[in-house]
Amino acid sequence: MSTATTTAPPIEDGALRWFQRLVWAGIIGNVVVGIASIAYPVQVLALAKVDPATPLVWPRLSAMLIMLLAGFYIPAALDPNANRFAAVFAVVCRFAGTIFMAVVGGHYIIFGLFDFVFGAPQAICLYLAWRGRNAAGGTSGSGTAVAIIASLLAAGLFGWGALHWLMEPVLPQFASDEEYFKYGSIGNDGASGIPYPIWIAMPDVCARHLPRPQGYPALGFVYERGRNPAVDTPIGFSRARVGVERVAINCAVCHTVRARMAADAEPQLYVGAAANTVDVQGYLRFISRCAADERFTADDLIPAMAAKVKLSWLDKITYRFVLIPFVRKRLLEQGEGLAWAERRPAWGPGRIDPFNPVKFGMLHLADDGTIGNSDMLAVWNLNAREQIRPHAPLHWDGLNNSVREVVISSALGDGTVAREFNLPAMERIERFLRALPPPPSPHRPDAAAVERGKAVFAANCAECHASDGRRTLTVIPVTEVGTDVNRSHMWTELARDTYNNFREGRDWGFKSFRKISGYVAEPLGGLWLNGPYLHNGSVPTLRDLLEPPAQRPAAFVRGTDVVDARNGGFLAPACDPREQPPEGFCFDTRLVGNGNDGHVYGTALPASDKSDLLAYLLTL
Amino acid sequence: MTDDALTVGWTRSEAETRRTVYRRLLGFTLIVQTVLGLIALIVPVWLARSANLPGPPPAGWVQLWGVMLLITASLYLPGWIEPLHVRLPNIVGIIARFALAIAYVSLGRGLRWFALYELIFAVALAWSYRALLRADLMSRP
Repeated sequence: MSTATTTAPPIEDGALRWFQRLVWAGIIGNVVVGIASIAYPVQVLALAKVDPATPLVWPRLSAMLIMLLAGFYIPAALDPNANRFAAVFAVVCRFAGTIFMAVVGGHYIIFGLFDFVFGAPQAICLYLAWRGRNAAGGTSGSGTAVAIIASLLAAGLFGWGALHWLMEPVLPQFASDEEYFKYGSIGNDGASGIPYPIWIAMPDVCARHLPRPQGYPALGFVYERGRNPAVDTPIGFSRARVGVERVAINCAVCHTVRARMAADAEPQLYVGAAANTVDVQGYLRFISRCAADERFTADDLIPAMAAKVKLSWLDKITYRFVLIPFVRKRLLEQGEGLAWAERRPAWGPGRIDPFNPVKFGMLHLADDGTIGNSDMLAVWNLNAREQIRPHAPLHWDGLNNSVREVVISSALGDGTVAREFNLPAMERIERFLRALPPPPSPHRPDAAAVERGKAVFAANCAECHASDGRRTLTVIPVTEVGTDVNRSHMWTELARDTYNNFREGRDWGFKSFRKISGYVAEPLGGLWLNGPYLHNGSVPTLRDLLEPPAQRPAAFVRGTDVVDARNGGFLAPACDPREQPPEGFCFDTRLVGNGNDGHVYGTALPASDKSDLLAYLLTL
Repeated sequence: MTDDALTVGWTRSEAETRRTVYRRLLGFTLIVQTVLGLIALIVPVWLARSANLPGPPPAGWVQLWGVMLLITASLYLPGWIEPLHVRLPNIVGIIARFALAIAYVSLGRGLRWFALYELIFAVALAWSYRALLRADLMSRP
């Protein structure tokens, strides 16, 4: 009689076998990825969400090296005991790849994760195998705690890498610079973007917080022909994937206008012009009030989202338990951060306080009670400006004279952050705006009147507004021009110094912010689209601007898109500020910061000269 | 007996000489590879311009190339330390050099100089390693 006894293999042998299997798996993985990357580099890069590479020799060379590298792992796979050095180095090299890719950052982390997937379990198996052997030889203690800590660290590192990869922005490509300006990302998608399904559902769930139940068009946003406001984004909004697809504003939201030559005419779009209809403050109010609404819940939002966007069950769970609560919290915080603006006169459509949000938010300066409400600016002719005057002042008060700094700081004001900052995108926008000409005027006043008006202009206006004017593109002191001082007072020496020294996230290289008390004498290209006039948009038409301040309209409707061919600017009927008009916004010049005083040049001209001058101005 | 002993001693000496030659040759190529890898990692754009590499290459890819050169060099080390007992890295390394030479030629421009370098040292290392293995075999009694 015999008894058969079976002995379980020691754990170290099992661990060693698993180490060998994992090394072989890694070798096979390297070869498969290498072959795929050599044969289909574009597809592999797209799958990894890595930027397209040009020329493709580099990803192909890397793929080739990955395969060759696999050959060096073979000794460790064959006999890790006999090739201890090779076994350790096989693991070390996997981690070296992970660390390098983590340092490179961006979506390249996916390649680091690939190495990590093999390196981490290999390290654990090798450790367990050799620890067992050493213990059998009486040379080591248990080391279990070390293995657990190493495993936790490895899992943490992997999780960090995976999160980093998932949250890296995937930006859509645009063939033309104009399309990029209208719909491209400025590097604020992750930091301030709203997940697209939530954004598109908010007007349905929170319709009562819009001025009119028309969705986002009620806020004056500009849609191109063929785009459906129910599901598409207007000009000035980018869509980019940062974990999920997000919607964020870009430069074009304030710098593209919709205009009609008559109430029944087809709207035309003019890129680079001041966005006369867009109510930025209305939009910010809407999203924060919607977030505070009792209907901003998964139960209300998800059905509205699902009606417009296909959502998987995993999406619904993610939105219900993660994204909707997170977005709600962030929008509420954003609303609280802008609460100071509610204590000042409303911006209204076509106007914005561009720098106080930066001062009180990004630059962490205390609320100084200033009001920076100002008309949005046209941003065309930037090269031509510099031909008139090198380093021409920019913004209404000339607070900076570097186009590059203005583009970057404007993006920062729109929510761009260092970790998403995209310098080539900024350079592309700058290049586009430098070359963008203003659209020619469609107005055709009496030719003789235009000729006479040209002479009146030369005698009364050219010094500050002609391209060869002695003071054109200089800052005229507030005491001289006499217009509302609030916008000029808003920009302080403290703000200048703080912005020039702003280093949050990276060295932004700002050195051109300055403080000058006054307003820039602008050249008049595209004047016909620039109404309402003056820096705070307080004078509705050119005809009104040629009247003494006391005779200018005290309250008028702004935010309409019908061009006023007779008076210049847009149609702006009188209104009562106590009652908001059915369309547009009743602008009250009696409120602080909205004053329509000053710029009395030409107001004392004879009526015939004014008429001729207006005819000429309409052609600009 | 005396003749036999002298013969064995000579072949062992010969094997030792071959080992030294091979290790010096391999050591030199590994140092060159490491230096090149570090340059690619630290100043990728300068390297790309100076060596007329295919381009304009994104700096990240040149750096990745540099890291892979460094990793390959480190995986080669066991073969350099004990070329006779750890043969696989040496064999894989020589094959890899031939493969890289072909790849560099096909990728073009400045990489062709690297192809020439890899080819020369692939041949030299193959010849030297073969001589070492033969000498080692002959040295065994």
